[in-house]
Amino acid sequence: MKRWHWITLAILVAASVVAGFLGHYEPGHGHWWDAIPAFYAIYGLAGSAALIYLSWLLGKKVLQRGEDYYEALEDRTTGEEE
Amino acid sequence: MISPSILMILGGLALPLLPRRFRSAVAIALPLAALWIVFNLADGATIEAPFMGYVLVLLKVDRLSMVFGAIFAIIAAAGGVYAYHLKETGQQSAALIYGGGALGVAFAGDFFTLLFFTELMALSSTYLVWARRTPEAEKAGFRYILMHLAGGSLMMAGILLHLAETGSIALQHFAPGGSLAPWLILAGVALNGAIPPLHPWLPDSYPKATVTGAIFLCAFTTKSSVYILIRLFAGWEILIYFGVMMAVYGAVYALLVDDIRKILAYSIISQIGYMVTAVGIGTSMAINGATAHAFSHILYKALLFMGAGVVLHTTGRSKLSELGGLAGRQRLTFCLYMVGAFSISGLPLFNGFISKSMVVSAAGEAHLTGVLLLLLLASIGSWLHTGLRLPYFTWLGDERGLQPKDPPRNMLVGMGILALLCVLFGVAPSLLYRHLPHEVHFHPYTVPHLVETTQILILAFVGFWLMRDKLAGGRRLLLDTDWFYRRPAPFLRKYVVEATAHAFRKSETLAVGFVHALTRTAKNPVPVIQRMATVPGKGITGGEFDPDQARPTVQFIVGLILLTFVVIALLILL
Repeated sequence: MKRWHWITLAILVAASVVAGFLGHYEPGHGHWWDAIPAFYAIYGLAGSAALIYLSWLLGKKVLQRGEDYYEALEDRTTGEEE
Repeated sequence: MISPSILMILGGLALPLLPRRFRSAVAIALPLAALWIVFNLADGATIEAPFMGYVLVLLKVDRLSMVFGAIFAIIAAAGGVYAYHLKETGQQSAALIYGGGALGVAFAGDFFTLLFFTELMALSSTYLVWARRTPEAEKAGFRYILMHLAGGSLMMAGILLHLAETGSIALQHFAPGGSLAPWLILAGVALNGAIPPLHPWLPDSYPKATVTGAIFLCAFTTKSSVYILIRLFAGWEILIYFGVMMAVYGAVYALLVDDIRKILAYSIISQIGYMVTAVGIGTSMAINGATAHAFSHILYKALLFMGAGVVLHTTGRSKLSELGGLAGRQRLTFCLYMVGAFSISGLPLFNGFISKSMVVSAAGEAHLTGVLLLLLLASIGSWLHTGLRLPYFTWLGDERGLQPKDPPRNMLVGMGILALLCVLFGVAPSLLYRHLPHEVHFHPYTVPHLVETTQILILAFVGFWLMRDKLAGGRRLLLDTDWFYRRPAPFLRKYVVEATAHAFRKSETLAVGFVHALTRTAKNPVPVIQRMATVPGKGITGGEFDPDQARPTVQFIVGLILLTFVVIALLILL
C-alpha cells in the first residue's frame, strides 16, 4: 500500500461522512444510530477488529487441532487392538 | 412443451453415446437449450403425469421458479465452458444430470417430484466429489452421500406424514408451527441448505471435489434448498435466527481455515445465511431479496470457485500457507477473481450490492435492528475472508517462487462470462429486479446506501491491514460439528461394528465345533461310553474295544426290544 492509496481512501471516507449529513433515509426507516456521525466507519473498523481477533482466539483456544486429527484418532483406536 | 430438467437429464444420460469430440460442446449447448426453454415458458404452464393414483406435476411455472430455473441453466452453461477442456464423460454427464435435477426442483409442482429431483441431485453430485480420485475425496464423498441420504429420508418422512394428514401431494406453503410433517421436511431441507449444525458436509466435501465439479456443487444444492425454503417456509420466524447465526458462523470459520476452496465453502454458508434470514422475515421485499441474492450469489460464488480452481489446477496447491505472489504470473485470473470478490463484498456496481442491500433493508424495514447489525457484521466478514484474506495470501503476500502453468483458455473464458454478468447486473439492477417474484420498490443506489457501504468497506480494510498477520492461515484442522460423527467413528467401528463381528465369529466357531463333536460321537459312541463308564482309579472295563465281544449282547438287547414292539402291536390289534 502506497501513501497515495491511503490518501485516496481517507478522502473517500471523508466524502462519505459529509454525504451522510446530506442523505436521509426515508421517514420511518430510521435507526437509533443515524444520529451518530460516521457510525458505519466506526462499525466497520470495530467489527473487522472484533471478527478477526475473536476468530483468531476461538481458533487458537478451542477449534484448532493437528492436520491429521481424525486419521490419528483412527490409527490410535485400531492400534489398541493389536 | 418439454421440461428443461428432463432435457438436461436425458442429455446427460445420452452423452456417452455421442462422439467424444462433441461431448464438451454438448455439455454447454444443453444448458443453453434449457435456458431458452425457461425463457419461453408461459407463467402458469404445467406438465402433469399420472403415477400410482397420484398426479405428478413435473413442471409448474411461476415467477419464483423462473428466476431459479434461469440461473441454474446459466451456471450449468458457464460451468460447461469452464470445464470444456475436460475429457471425462463421467463428470460431464454427472454435471448435466445434477443441473437437470436442480431445474427439476425449481419447477416441481408436487412433493414426490421435488423429492425425486433432490435425491437425483445428491447422487449425481457425489460423483463430482469422487471423481477427484484421492483417498480423502473418496471418504468425504461417502460422508457427503450419507448425510444427504439422511436429509432425503427426513424429507420423505415429512412428505409421507403430510400425505397421510392431508391426502395431498401438491406443493404448498406451510403455516408456521403446527404438525410434525413440515418440521421433518424443514430438517431435511436445512441439511441440504447447510444450515448449522447440519452443515459440515459442505466444507468437508467441496474442497475435495474436482476443480470443475466444485463449480456445479457450489451453485446447485444449497440454492435449490433456498428455493424450497422460499416456496414452503416463507415467514417462519425460526429461520431468521438460524440465518443470522449461520451468516456469522460461516464468516468466523472462513477467517480461520487454510484451504482456499474451504474458505469459499464456509463463505457459502455465510451467504446462505442472508437468504435464510430473508426467508424467515417473509415480507415481499425480503422474499425478493432472498431470490435476488440467490441469483447474484450463484454468479459470483461460481466465479470465485473458478478462480480458486485455476490456482489449484495450475499450481497443484490450494492452501494459503503454501501460496503467495502469484499475481505477477496470473494477472487475468487475479482480476477476474477480484470481480467476484467485490461482488460478494457488496461493492457498488457489482451484483452483490444490489441483492445484499435488499436483504439488509428488508431486515431494517421489519424493525429487526439486531438482525440488521449482525448481517452487516457478516458482510464485513465476507469482505475480510473472500475479498481480502484469500486473494491477499494467494496472489499477493509472500513471494514463494511458484511457477504456475498456463490454465486452459476456456477456464478464463468461463470466468470472464461470469465476471461480465456480475458487473452487468450490478450496473443495471432492473434486469434482475423486473423478474423477481414480487414487484420491487427498492433502489440500491441511494446516498445512504453508498455512504454505509463506503465507510464499512474502507474501515474494515484498515482493520484487515493492521491485523492481517492473524489471518495468515497455517496447516491445521478446525473442529466443526462433524466432530460429533467423526470423533466417535473409530470407537463405534471398534466397539459396535468390530465387536459384533467378533461375537458372531466366536459363536460360529463354537457352533461348528459343537456340531463337529456331535457327529463324531454319533458315528462311534463306544469310546465315549467307555470313557464315561470308566471310573478313574478303579477301572471296570479296561482293554481295547473288540466289536466281536460286544456283538452278542447288543444282538440280544435289540432282539428283546423288537419282540416287545411285536407284542405291543399284537395287543393293540387284537
